[in-house]
Amino acid sequence: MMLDPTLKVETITKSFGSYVQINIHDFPGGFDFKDANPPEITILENCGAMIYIIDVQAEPYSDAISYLISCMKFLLKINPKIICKVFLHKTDAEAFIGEDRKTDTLKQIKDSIQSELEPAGLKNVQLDYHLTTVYDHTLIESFSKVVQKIIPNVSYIVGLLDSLITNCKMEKAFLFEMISKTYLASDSTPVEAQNYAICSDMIDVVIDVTYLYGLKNSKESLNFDEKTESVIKLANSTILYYKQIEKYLALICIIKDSNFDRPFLIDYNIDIFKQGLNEVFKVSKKKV
Amino acid sequence: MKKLLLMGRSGAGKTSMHSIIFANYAAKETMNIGFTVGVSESKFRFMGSLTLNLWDCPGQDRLMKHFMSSQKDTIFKNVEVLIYVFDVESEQLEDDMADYKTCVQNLVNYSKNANIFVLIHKMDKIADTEKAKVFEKKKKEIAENTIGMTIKECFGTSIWDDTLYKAWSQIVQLMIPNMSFIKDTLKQFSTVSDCDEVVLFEKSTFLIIAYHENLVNKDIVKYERLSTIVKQFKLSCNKIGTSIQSMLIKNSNFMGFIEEFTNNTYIMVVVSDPKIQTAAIELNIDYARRYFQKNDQYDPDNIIKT
Repeated sequence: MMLDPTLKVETITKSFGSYVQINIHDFPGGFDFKDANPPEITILENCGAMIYIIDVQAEPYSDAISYLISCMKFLLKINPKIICKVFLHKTDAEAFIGEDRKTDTLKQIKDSIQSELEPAGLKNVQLDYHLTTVYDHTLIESFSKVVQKIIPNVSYIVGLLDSLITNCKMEKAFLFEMISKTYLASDSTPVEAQNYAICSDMIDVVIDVTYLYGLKNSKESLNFDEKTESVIKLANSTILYYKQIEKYLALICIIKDSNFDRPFLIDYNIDIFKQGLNEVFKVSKKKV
Repeated sequence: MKKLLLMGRSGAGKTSMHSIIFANYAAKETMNIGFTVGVSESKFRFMGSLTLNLWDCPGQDRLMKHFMSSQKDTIFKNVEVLIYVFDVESEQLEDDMADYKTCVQNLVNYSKNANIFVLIHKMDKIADTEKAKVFEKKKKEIAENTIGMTIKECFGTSIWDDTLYKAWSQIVQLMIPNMSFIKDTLKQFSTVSDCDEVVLFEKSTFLIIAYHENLVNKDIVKYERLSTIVKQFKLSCNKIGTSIQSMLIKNSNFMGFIEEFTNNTYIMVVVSDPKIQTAAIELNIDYARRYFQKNDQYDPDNIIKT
């Protein structure tokens, strides 16, 4: 699907469950900050994060890098708390199939950017890098990480999830937003890309099967009531446990077979998690 | 060792078709396949004791003619099924028919008891309003050119919708001799367990072997959609080196349960009565499994005796 180039600033609002909303502002390529009008400046002053996208298929990177530096200079002046993320995008090209090529490119770009930061007076700025492509899960996973940095009180949700996985002896738990398949939070153990990928694919299975069988009549629209749940047992003694938390938020847990002997206890603990989550959302009911 | 031949002229779509059904490529990944060069023979086990030997012969003219004539006894002996693919948009109609006639002639000479299935492929390129007309015309023409044998069934297919799965599932079903036994057993199962539907799938391709449903008036196409959903998830599991053992999905309106049934099949049970427990379903599936395996000759894993 071909999209037209963005000609002016476009804003999209994205909801994550009933309590959290994020505005995404898409700036046209090469936007000159000197031309920014007051509403645009206000947007920039209040942004939680900037995602800068570099097309790895378009060498040389020098132009992209100097534009990044000028963006950062401008933004950090008016919004010193902004988080900066760089997505090295379109890594699906044939030239990038090997892991080595990807890490080399990442290092090359990182080094180039680092060397430009100091002369620009941005020595101490923290920059995160992600390799992404639309053709696999990397883009959404990286976007999830950005979302987690800007949603308030995510650390409380992480705490709740940590508590859940310890008490239920789970390997991992993710709180997903179903439509975008970004995850708002996971417990504090490291996230392996393949775990994220299989859970994200499980959401598709639940959505598609519910669409086929779960509607009372054909006129009903897809509505994920709190009774939606799913258990997938894999041949490697692992279980994926999906529980609907609210309309578009789902909890997916990865549990070993042997630890799934008392699902009613797990359900009880998940209910407690749900209550904790509600409390967190009540407190932080604001737009970012 | 019984063989299945997949044939047709170059570019008709055979390679992407069998990649999707058997080798687990999703539709959008087949766009890069290109032309087959040389004969591609894929052997795999299908439905237990049936070994399907898929000959994906090159459709390119010169090579094909030479290959067909010099190797014809190797290719055409012991054939259980011939699936012949026609590209509905082909502009070389005479050549298409000539090649087809040669194929059928060889079959008459070497495997005259084989079943012939014809797929009129790439139907997505025909406008919806014209589809039925075009299909009937093509079907008639092909039947007229089938000499010495009769076509068992003819299907219109496309890799972009459910028609491909439907055709291949029906081919599988027409090859199974004890379908009535399997269907009756599924019917009994569904009465005993009070479920709405029960379906038996072939394990690696998720083609439908048999199904029974209590509630009339439901769309048959949904089974094909379900096959695709499960296969896509299977692909994801394969990427991390594992496979699906069972899946349960439910909400306040239904419960769907899919589980490995026998060595080569999966069973799916759908229930809309919220009072039924998962454990009861699992118990019934266990009994059904043992019942099938006791009646060895009707065991879906031993369908075709060589």
